[in-house]
Amino acid sequence: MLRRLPILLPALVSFLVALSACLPWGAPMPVQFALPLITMAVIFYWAINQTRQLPSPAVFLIGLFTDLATAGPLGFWAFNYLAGYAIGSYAPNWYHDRRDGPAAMLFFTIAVVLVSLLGWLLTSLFNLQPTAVRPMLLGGLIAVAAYPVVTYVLKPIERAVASAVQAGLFRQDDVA
Amino acid sequence: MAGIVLAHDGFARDHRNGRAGGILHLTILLALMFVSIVLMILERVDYKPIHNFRTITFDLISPVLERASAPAMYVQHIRHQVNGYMDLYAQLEQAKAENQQLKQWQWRAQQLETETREYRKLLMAVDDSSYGFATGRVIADGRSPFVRTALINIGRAQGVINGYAVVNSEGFVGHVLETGEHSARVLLFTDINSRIPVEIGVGQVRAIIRGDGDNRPAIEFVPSDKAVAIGDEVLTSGQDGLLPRGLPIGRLVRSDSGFRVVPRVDLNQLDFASVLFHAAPGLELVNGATASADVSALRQK
Repeated sequence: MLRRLPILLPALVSFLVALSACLPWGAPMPVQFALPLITMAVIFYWAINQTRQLPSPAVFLIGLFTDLATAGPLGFWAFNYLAGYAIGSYAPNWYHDRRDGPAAMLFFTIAVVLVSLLGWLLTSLFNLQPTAVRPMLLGGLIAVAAYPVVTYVLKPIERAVASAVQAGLFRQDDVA
Repeated sequence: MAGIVLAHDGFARDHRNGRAGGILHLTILLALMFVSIVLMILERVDYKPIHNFRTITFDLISPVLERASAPAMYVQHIRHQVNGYMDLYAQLEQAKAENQQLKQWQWRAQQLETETREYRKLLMAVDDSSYGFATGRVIADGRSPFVRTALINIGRAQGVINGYAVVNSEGFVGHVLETGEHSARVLLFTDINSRIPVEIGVGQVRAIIRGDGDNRPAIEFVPSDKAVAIGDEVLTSGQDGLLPRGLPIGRLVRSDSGFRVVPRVDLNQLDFASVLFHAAPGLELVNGATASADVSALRQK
């Protein structure tokens, strides 16, 4: 049982990042805008690498928590995180063969651009007026720049999760 | 053996990498995205149960956020200290000069206060110049391109109600939008939904500050360019019947599209904020007469 505990790590890590993204760090404005997108980077990483260990209901709850903690419109980050998760979990096969390096950056950049545009559209519709684009772009740029760091930090955790998943599979095979 | 099987079996390979697949996964994902959109629509139309859900969860998550924000507060404290040490000498000199000026102003203010009191007596005017207040800590930030709010750790139990003005030592921050038992959500005046009536400069020119997601909100409805000057002080006018008059907001600057305000308060580095307990006709409209009366009674205790 304890050996399989790492399977919970994707959801736990994503939640902790979401929680810390809501705290008043006093960072400059563009960095503050990037913080919820860093959570998206983490969700995207797990969606690419361990989709089954981070199910979509967990992503939904993390998004809902972000909405409540940041006092934003309920469902806003839930939707955006699910969109990022969908892009990651349905990434084409060619991407899965090149999960590290420039291909990862490129694919995450595409995901951030799509999610930011979607977010901008939703916010403008929600407020019935167009919102400022510049802060959103800056936040997106910072999130993209931070993605290699996210990958670097999550890689060892992902290895532990993969080992736990594999251990579970072998045990199932043995039983069969 | 099992390893060899895994390496050649497509399903097992996907399972080992934790890849998703199948109609069930897609259905749940789409259903949750749909639920998110529905939640946004319900929030937009001010569906009462959503509002109640938010109020209840405020109180549930605020202790978690309060505990979790300790490291963030420590980081802010360290940064304040470092910044303070960096220009300690300059600050000391500035403080000395300001102290001299303030002593003169103090004497002048005392004179004016006495004079005003006399005039008020003559006019039999209601005294509204002093406010009670409660100070709380910012425990969560809601600063994205889409929303500018802050969650503070004081609520109804401390006498806070919706609509109260929120300030810090430097000036106006925003107003209380939602109140839980021990927490309140503050809408910063830079939020896209914020409209604050203001007066500008010595001429007390009336205008509106419109939040648009930028750090420097726009000023609208200035009657003419000649009526105001760059650098003029911008204060709340209290014309909305909700906020008190004369809370300092910032200084007027020109931008490509008209006028903007450079806020006095660094809204990116809010750590503490005070809720002003003031009487205003608009407060009863926002909260209902009974809620306002209940809180007034609570504060008098």
